[in-house]
Amino acid sequence: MSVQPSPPDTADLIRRLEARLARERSARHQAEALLEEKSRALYLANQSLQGVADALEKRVTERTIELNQALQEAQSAIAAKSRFLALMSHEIRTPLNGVLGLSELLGKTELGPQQSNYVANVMRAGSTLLRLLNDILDFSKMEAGQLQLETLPVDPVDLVRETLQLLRPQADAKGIQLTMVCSPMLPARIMTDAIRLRQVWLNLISNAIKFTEKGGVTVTLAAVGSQLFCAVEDSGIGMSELTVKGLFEPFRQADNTMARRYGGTGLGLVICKTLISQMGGQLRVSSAPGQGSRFEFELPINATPNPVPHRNGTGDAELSAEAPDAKGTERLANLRVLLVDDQAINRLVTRSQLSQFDCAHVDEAENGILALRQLQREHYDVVLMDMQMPEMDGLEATRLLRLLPLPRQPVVIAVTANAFPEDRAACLEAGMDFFLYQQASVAWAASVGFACLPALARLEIQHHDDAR
Amino acid sequence: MKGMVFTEFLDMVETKFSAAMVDDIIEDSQVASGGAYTAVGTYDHQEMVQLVVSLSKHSAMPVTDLMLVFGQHLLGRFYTTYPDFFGDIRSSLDFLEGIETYIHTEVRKLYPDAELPCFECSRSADGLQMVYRSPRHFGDLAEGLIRGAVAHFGDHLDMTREPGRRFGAV
Repeated sequence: MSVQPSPPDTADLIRRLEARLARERSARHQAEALLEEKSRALYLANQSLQGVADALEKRVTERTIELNQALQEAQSAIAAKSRFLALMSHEIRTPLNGVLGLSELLGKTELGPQQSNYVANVMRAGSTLLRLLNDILDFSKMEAGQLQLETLPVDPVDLVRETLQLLRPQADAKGIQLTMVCSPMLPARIMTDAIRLRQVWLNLISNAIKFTEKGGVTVTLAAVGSQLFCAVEDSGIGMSELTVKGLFEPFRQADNTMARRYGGTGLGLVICKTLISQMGGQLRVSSAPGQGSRFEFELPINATPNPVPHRNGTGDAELSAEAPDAKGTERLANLRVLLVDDQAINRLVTRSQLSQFDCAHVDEAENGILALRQLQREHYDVVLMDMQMPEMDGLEATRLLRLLPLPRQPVVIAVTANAFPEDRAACLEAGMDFFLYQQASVAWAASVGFACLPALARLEIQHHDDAR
Repeated sequence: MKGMVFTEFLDMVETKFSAAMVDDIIEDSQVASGGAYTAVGTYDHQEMVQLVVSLSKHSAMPVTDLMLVFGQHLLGRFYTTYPDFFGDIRSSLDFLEGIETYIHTEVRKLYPDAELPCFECSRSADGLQMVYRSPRHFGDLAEGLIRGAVAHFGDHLDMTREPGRRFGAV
């Protein structure tokens, strides 16, 4: 027996199923419409995002170009500043050296007490100005990251001894004792920049003297492992904690009354700190009011395994300002010297200085072209050559001079107010034999004479060779 | 109201009662959409009221009970569909406290047109007080959801519901 569903039930079932189908279909259509709508919204959102991304990328590109331009402008501004510095360095030092050189010569003439006092004050003011100028130029170079140090063997004890000798008159005038304490087994040589290290010593020791009224200043050198330990200690006025904190900030001095009382730019210690850190050490200070101050630093004994080679095998191509011995200068009298400098005042100063060594045969030329003409006409043993001159500068003149078929080439000494190491390198590169930094110091006259000594020695060797 | 609530409701009716019951309550309630719901759509919440009232009539069960049961069922479905909302949460109180601040914020990102109730929560040492506010008056559904959450996390909590405008102190 089979059970047949009643017709109304079947009809009802079919009706229900049709209704469900209609609901499902309707739901599907709704879902599809929603999906379509959402897809479209997603597409539009993507489009808009792409637009934003493109705009951002465009902006990044534009900004990069702008930044590059700004960087180039900044770099060219720095280059311009450097050129300006180099130029100002020369332009300011040249007349200043003239003032100082002539004042020095004036001081050696017969003067009344009042006149001597005036001259001494001119010298002092001029020296202060030069020191100030040097500090500002050094600081500018450091700020621009352009300060280059040399690495050559230096006797650390000699350097301190020289510095103390130079500062002893100041200490004696104040009745202060200068003491040097060296531990045994100090290295005979360290690899560093002698001029810059001397500058550090001068600064620290002269500061110590400046701020000490009684007692003394002690300089300590000790070898600790692979480092040279250095300290300058004084029994002076000392400093508060606050002062110590701001000590290595540019243009800061203990306070304004200090600046009035003791003078200075407030750059000295900043320069020292930077120099020492470039040399691989660190300058530290400890002090308390009324308890004196102590500055200390260490230097690597062997800073670099590749020292800069010398042009001449015997010593530093830069000649330091030290008095030549009397026996040496006697031999300078017979030298034939050509002074090449566009500044009449410089020629006058140098000529006067050479006359102190009885140099009788001294000729002058105003620029490179005139110098070459003169050198072809007459023989000279020594040429004192300025670097910057109109028409033809000292570098070009030396290069051409070295090509001239002369029976005997003269010794060429660069005499310049340009203080940058690259200037010295350029001079030696051009074929000059020695580099003399034109300092307006009391020893300047002596340094000119001293400069001629190695020249003389070389000439004597040449004469000897020629005779053979 | 989101279509998912409707589809889940009808699924529950079909499972707990029958497919015929679904047909009957749709037909009987004469909802404007004709009962054709899709989970991703949005429908008038009044249709839910009509459907529940109709189910109550056909099943002879009170509306309140039906809503409570549906709320508990819905919580389980939420957990299956959106497990991310449950994340690392370990207790029902933490979960309930985060509905407004976390879950609703995320739901609005997914469905900007969603009309969500508001839960004001204040947690204290002895429990959590939740104040339910909604123009749609689905307090029973909310209670069902809360009970579902407590059961989901396996917590044993005393729950009291204050009538009137305030609802749900746990």
